[in-house]
Amino acid sequence: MTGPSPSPSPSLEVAGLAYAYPDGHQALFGVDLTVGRGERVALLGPNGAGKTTLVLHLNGILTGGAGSVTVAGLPVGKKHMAEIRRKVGIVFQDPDDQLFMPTVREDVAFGPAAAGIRGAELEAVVRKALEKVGMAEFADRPPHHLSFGQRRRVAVATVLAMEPEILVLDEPSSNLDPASRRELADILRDLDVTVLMVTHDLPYALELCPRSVILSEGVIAADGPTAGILADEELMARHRLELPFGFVPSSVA
Amino acid sequence: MLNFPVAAGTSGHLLGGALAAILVGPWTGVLCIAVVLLMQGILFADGGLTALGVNITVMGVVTVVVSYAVFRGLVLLLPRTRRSVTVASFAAALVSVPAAATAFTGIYAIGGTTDVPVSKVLTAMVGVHVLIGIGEAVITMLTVGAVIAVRPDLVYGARGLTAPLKLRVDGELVDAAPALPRRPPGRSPRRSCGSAAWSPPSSSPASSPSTPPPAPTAWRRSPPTRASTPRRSRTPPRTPRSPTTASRASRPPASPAASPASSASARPWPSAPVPSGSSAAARPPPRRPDVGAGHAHKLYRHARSPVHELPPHTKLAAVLGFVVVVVSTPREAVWAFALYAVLLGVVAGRARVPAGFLLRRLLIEIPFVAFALLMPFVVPGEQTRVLGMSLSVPGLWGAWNVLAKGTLGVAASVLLASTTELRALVLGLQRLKLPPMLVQIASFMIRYGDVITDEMRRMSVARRSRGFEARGVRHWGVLAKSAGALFIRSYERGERVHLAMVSRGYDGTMPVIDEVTATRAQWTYAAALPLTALLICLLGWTL
Repeated sequence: MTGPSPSPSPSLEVAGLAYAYPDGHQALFGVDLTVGRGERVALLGPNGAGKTTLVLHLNGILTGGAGSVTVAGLPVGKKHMAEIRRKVGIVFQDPDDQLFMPTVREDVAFGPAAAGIRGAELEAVVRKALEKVGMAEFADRPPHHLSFGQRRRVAVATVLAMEPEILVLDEPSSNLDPASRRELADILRDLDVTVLMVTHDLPYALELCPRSVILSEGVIAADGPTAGILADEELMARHRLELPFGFVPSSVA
Repeated sequence: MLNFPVAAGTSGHLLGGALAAILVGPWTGVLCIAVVLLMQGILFADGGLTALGVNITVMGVVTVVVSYAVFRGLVLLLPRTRRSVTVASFAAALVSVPAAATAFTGIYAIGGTTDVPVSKVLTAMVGVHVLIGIGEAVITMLTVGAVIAVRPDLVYGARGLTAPLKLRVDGELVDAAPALPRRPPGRSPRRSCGSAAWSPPSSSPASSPSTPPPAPTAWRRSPPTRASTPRRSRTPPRTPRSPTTASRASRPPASPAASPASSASARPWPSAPVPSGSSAAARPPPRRPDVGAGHAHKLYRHARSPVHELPPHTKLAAVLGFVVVVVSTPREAVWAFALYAVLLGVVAGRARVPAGFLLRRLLIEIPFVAFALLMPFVVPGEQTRVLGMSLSVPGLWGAWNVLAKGTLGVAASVLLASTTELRALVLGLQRLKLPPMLVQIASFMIRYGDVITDEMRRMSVARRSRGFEARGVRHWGVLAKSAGALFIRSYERGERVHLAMVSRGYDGTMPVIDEVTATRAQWTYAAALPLTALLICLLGWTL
């Protein structure tokens, strides 16, 4: 659509994507979206707009609808699946789903180990990823014993360990207390990767992402600078998006 | 894990094979039940390691296959409606339980070592299991009904609708080009044990605690109560009896010669330690980075000792060897069993496991003792008089045999469990080349036991907050619906976890992250127990 595509091979390119679940419910009705290399984009939209469905198309977990998804020039499909999965790092909303191994260390190691890294090199990758999110000293703890904010950070590390081309975060700020929310924001700001952030947390989007797109009724309904979108009251109301009480985007930007 | 003592000394309980087969399919169903039995055998000596084969055959394979066959057959014959599916599941569960009992009797007839006549066993087993089968059928039917109402696609035989894809162009819907055949999203890969397979077993441990404080015993009735209630109806369940299939699967009619039944495993399942959930946080940080911080389970006793430090697979092998040796010792060599006990005492001393701790854990054996005590009265043969009672000599020997071997087996298992963390046990099993699928399921059980227990507790709190207390049979419907809901939640979590796994490159096999290794010295040290036992056993045969 109107999205700018600054780099010749953008991190992510979605064209005409449509998808219906096997129970007949159709979630996507032709999504077009381009995210350039190094961009941080917020994907906004009301509940049920198809955000999660879109995310699951980015690494080929859902396929078989109409349209195409391309990651760093590589079409998402059976042929390159392993590489696509490595390039697209999805951080799911519930860290209990994301952290499935018995200890933090093993969990972070899962992705690189699946890619064939072993021994000392694996340890180094794990340590580096955990250091990036400030969780290195928790390596041998079981995930169940961490606080929610810590689990969310470990979840980010599990994905960073795979050195992805694009980091996709599903509701990164949900269920976090304000301090954990800020700590996560600091971590995300310092990362040097393309970020696509699915969120209802509009101030968080404004804080971290210069650009936002609105997904509504299965299509991209708006695409532009975050501050501009949040200031457009009519557009926001049409897509069931509301700012928190007392929050004025222009006063922050 | 609900055992009911059956007349003539065998025991029976809810199996859950039918529910497993119907909800997750026959292959996964057998796997789930096998893992539950394996973990039970290792940790609780419920069913025991030596009876594992019988248990899996009878409870896993027979119930699952029979019920699935009945279910599929009926679904094909009946009109394709939801009601048919629930009716078919009722029938499938009803048939599967007596079928398992019959199969057990067959095995008993071929290989039984006690002298209870086959016909007596058959009558007892099948009779009681028909009753159990009715209860199982009701619960299976209600649970399947609850699942099918919400996620019909999760139940075999009731699947999906499709409609052509539309594109929204300027607010208008237009038909999209015909799509390729679609894969169903979450429940995609058949091989995914990550997805469906783990959920049932992991929810199984959780099946206890819905009543917060005294949960583990809340529905798992205490032995005396149970003994007096051969059928469930007298103590109504307070909780979703078995959220899922495997949950009830515990132990089949125990083979009499096998090790002790802990029908009343008063101890909570390891991975669902405390119903009140996260007492975990208070736990001291793990001190064994080499095996990772395992989940400390109730049976585990933290200490530093040479036994604790042995690699898990050497300990597993040693215990297995010891149990096999003990079981193959002639029962007449009474002194040999005394020596075995001394051996275990030495190990316990090295492991710094106090005698009191060990003896308390041995209480798990009690229900089985009750069975052994019956044998002198029911086994035919030469009679003798003890304290004015007429007892049969073969029965006395049989009782001694079962008691001595059972106690030693349980003691060895308890020692293993109290010196090895759960996580290490799984690594050990992996090292011992247990099929990777089973290892994966077991490790997911450990990871998600607490998560699912919490989920159950929240559901129970929500029920009771709205004034529900299960009081009798008429509340089973609500409980079965809760069980169905828990299954769906667990299953959907399974789907999400599986997504997270494939998103990070999972392709059906777990990547190798930790390799546990043992030095020759460690093997030698671990082998001391079974080798000494073997020596005693050989002496027992020759002397």
